[in-house]
Amino acid sequence: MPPLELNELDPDWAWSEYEPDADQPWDRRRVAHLYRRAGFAASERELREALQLAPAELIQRLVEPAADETFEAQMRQLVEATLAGGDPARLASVWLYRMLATPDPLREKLTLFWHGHFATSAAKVQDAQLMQRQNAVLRQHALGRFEPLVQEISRDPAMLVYLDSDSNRKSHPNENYARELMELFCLGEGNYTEQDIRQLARCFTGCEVRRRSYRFNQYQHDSGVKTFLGSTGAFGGEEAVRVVIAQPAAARFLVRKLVHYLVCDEPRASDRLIEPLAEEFRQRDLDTGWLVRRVLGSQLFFSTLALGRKIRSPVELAVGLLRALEGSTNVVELSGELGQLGQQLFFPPNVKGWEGGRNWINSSTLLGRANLVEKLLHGSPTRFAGGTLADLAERYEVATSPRFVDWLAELLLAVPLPDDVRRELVEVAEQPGGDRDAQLRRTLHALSTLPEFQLA
Amino acid sequence: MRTTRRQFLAVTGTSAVLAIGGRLPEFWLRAAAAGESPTKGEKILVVVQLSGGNDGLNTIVPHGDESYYRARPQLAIPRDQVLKIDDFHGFHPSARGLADLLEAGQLAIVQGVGYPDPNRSHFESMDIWHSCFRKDRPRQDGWLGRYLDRAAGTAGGDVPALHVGEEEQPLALAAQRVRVPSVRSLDRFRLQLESGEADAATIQRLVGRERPAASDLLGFVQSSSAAALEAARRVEQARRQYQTDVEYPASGLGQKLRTVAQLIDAGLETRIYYLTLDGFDTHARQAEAHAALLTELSGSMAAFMDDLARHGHAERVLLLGFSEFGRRLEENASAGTDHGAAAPLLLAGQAVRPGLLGTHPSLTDLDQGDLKFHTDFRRVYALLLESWLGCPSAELLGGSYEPIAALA
Amino acid sequence: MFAALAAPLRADEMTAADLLPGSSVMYAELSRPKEVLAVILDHPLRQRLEALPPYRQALEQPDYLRFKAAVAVVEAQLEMPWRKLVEAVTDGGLFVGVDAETEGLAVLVRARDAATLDKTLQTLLKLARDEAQRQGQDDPVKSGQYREVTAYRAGEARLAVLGGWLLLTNKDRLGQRVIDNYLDSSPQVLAKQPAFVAARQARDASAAAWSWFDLATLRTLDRDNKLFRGPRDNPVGELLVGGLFGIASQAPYATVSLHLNPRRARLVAAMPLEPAWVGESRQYYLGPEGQGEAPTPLGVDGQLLSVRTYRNLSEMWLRADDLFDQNVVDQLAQADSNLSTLFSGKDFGEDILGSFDPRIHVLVARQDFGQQTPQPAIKLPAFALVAQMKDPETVQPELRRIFMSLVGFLNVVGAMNGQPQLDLETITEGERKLVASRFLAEKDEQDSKSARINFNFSPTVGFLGSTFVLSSTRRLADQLLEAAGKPASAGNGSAAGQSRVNTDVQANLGLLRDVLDDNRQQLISQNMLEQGHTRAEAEYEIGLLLELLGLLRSFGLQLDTLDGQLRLQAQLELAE
Repeated sequence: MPPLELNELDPDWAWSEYEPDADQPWDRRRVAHLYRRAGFAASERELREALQLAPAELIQRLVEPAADETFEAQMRQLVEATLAGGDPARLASVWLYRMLATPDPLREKLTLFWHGHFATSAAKVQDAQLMQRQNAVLRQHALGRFEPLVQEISRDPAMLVYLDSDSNRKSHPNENYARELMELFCLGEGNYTEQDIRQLARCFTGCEVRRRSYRFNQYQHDSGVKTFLGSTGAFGGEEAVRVVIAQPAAARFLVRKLVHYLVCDEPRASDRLIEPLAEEFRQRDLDTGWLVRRVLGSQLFFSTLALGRKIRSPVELAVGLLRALEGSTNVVELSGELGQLGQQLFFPPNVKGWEGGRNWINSSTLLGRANLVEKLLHGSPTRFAGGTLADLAERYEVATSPRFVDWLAELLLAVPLPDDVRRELVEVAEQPGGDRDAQLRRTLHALSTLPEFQLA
Repeated sequence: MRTTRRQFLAVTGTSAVLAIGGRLPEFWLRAAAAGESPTKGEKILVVVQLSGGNDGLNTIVPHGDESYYRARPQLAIPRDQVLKIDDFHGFHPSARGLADLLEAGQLAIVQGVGYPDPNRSHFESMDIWHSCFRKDRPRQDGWLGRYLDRAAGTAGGDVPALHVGEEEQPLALAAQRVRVPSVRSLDRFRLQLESGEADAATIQRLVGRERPAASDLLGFVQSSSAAALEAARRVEQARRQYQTDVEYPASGLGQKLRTVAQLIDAGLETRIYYLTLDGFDTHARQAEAHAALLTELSGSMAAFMDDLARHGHAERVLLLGFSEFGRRLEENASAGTDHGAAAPLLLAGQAVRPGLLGTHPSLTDLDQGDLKFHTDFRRVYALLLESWLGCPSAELLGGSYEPIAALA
Repeated sequence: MFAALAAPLRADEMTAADLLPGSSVMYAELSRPKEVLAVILDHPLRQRLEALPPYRQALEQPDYLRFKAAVAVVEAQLEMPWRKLVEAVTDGGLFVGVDAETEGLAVLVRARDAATLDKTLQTLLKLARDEAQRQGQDDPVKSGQYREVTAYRAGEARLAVLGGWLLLTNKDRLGQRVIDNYLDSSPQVLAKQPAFVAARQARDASAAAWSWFDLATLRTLDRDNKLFRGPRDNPVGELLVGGLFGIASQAPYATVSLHLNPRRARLVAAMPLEPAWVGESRQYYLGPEGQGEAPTPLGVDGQLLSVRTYRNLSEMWLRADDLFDQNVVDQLAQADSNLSTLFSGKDFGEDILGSFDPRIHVLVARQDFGQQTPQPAIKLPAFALVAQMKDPETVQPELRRIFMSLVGFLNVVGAMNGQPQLDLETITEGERKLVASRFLAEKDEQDSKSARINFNFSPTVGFLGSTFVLSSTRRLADQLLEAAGKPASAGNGSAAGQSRVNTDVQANLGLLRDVLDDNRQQLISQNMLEQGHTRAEAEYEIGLLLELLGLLRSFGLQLDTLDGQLRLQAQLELAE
């Protein structure tokens, strides 16, 4: 069907279930693509295992992996020890550690999505404990129904502090949360009026944060009748949330945002493409897990309109590189470096979260990205499956330089390299100087400076 | 020989391209086309924020006014030490660099700058200067950030603004779309290469190779990467070859301004640089501390302007020096001064209309012991936005302000 | 002719100082290498160290294996185990000299007998030649004659055998001078230098190693006068070592000796000291005429670190212009303004620092939280400063007030950042007065054993007579006031012939291990994040660190004056 332009596609075809054929074969490139979007990257081991499965089987595994209690227990210990220090910046490194080690990368990918969606910055909240609690809520509901997530967020202390809504009195309803709920969280601009905001704000009066916990102060709640978005009633906060997400715009808004997150950055998907999926999403009671599985298993997702059509965020770039090569590193340093590149976890730049797409790219961040890879390869205590890059290549029997370049390109790049670039990379690998490991690292670094490396 | 961005693009049709691969790849054409955007080789604004509240009265000294000497028995600068501008005004003796700049016709002193109903909290007043708004409305961006959001074209090129320093990024630069990096040194603009690694030329060649089936997105990243490597090459060249006879003070501000001069000379398209000098909150034993700060400020500014002139950039760079407020007229019992209100503001560069602008605020007609402002700081911003950065100001400043006449 | 005949007779009596030129500026000797070797190689800890996995891994490194193979070849050729060989070749000691005139370095080794030495050298040269030949390279060893001595050259090194001496140097001219001194007895040798003779006579014969530096000559060579100027750009560095630089810029020489036994290693550096050399600018450090003396030690439970010193901080602050570069002076001026603001307008250098006696005592102690709650998850040691007020009547109320306003300030800032609030309490018990603060726990935190880091602290100031205590915890302040109330134990006297201690640092490394162990979970987490380790890897690495630290008992550092000498001693002691 492709290459058509995204919005010229037949929506029925786009969302129908992916069936491998000669144009869109189920091969290493598409497995790597799936892992990149439904997580951060596939390692060689994961690639080999995945190819033994049918696409739908693999997607099922990614969406519902087996629980790993040992890992969760270790993460709890790590979080607890880190919270004792009280520094929210330190939490970012714990999250990165989790992203690198988790057996459930899709959940982290979606938690990151919701972190940008319900953007809350520790720069204002100034409380690691509250930030961590919010993070746990996002993770718990990452692939669940949308309503419980929004209900939790509506009484999340970190969010309320961030939006100055931690003391919402009936005489002065704070409109901030009401506005963001409709504009940024559920509906998008143009789907509500200023009058709706004022009315909705009344529903949330009485919401307070006291001693770092949510409290509903019934004496400060405006219990009168409110009318907004075509509904009338003496709504409280919970009912108000239900009214908002029952709007037809809500499903469209979320589907569009998730499609861009999982499939492609641009162009903006048309209503015509989005609406069929949004309709099903409504019928599924806004079940995000269902939506994610549906999108990942679609023809569109495996088409050339999706392959390499996203720009890697700094976190995706670093975590992807390391996961593809089974790497581990100093995540404290890494989280600082990612901040320099514009994506410090727990510190989104404003209420809109990270803009993403082309906005990640400028001279300074591109050099920063290359230098980050340089630092990972030389400065930090980076290890690949516990050893050197040469050890890893040897383990997978990647013996020659051409083989190594191809192997890296398969694992790390979403689009193929031009032949002449590939040839020159082989030359870089074969330059004299340094042992085998130094040669491999040099090649990997050169590869990471290429424009292809910025695409996911 | 120094190669400016413009010169570089002018030769891409010939030797540079032959060196790279014989054919003129499309992305070079795109980069060259982008090079014709109106921001090329454009005017640059360098902001130096004096944090803590600079004592304007001991910077521009009203030595012709007896009330100054009466109010400051310990801290007043004796008449015979003032570097006199005229019968009434003069510089602090440590501000020799400022006096030299004035002499050279490169300094404008805007007197009595402030805003109505002055706030005397550092944070609040600084936020007002940064955002142009008071606390009663949400302040998510700053005046320069709003300019950046408006002026920035497509993403991908050199950063439009740069914060040089370790401190938290000032609200003035906060924008909705554009992210301004904070850097400490030139290192952030270099491609770090371990020895034995593919050299920059090889990487530039690999990045530059034609991508026949490139999507728009890949094309965009490719041209951005080429621009980034080119910027890094220029900065690296500047770092290696930058020579200046000008001796910058060894202080923090001096070295930061030296970095800015290097980046400007490297042809970076960045139009706004933001730096901070902290320590002006001199509540006690002010004399020596303030003298040291003024030495650092004026010495660094003078060296910077001199350096720019020697490298041929002086006419396109303007430096703004401001503080969140001045200090109280009366000194306190600890030989210091407390938070005040209106104060002089500095504009330096070849483009200024040199000298004093406006009158010195009265030392007798005071507002709770502080000098009254007569020039709203947003009138200075209006000038910088309209006449220097070429951008309508009313929307960005939340109202229409008449630009002050501080440019020649 | 006479000299040539006389030399072999004298050779046995010659010391290295008889061979090294009189223009030597540095001399070092290891007079009994065999004993040093024995302390290290026969040490009871060696087996424990060798049992550690990282040690065993290091033994498997290719570089080490190559080295081991080369040693085996030498042992086979000389038919002697390497340790016996080293003992034989260095039996009479190992000596190093640096000569100012030739700008050369000479190493002299005195063997048990000339035959062993010659055989060893010839074997090593042959091995080097064989190895070069095997790799198809030119002969790396060149040889030549100087007077009747055969000298060899390999790379930058020149070698010669002089009877039982092996000479190794990097300069031809220095080699020639040493050979001349060996063959003809010369008055221009180090052994005849008065400054050297004086220092060597005072040497402690039990030292395993001893060295001497000719400061006077070094100063004449130092044209920019930079060598002994001190850290003019670094106030903390000046505070730590400034006084040493002051004396080094006057004293004729300095010596350093090393004392070793299986339990401890001690390093002693010494310089002659004349009261007149102290100078005005370093008087803050050594006291008038070098008489400054550290305060009597106070003991507390779980003492981790004690620092006692004489430093007149007020004088140093006010003398900043003499001691520091302009840049530092400017920074101090700004700090002065800020600190004066903090101390409500008091002049920081004169009024605040100046109200204390120069004798300062700093203590750090491990905290025992027992069952007490809230208990912080990260357990930091408590620390305190003890000083004497010059005028307690006036200063005490001032300090109390400043402390209270600081606590108020912390509460205001803390409230903005969601930190717990401090509660203030004023206590008078007889002569003792305390102003103690403590963090108030929120309801959900009161029984916590993993509370916030704040609960390590209960900032307190205490007063007893002229004694002032500023402590991070109430408990430590109580203990210190109690200790200060007891009559001082005699013996910190300053009678003639007794050491006068300027600075004394004692660290209990065994307790340091315990403090780290208190925080094992934190260290493991930190290791996981910073090294990218798995939990198992991190647990192993932290366990190893604690085990290694467990081998050490204490570290001490002392600066004192004794018999016209300024001495700096450092001592490391091992656990039983």
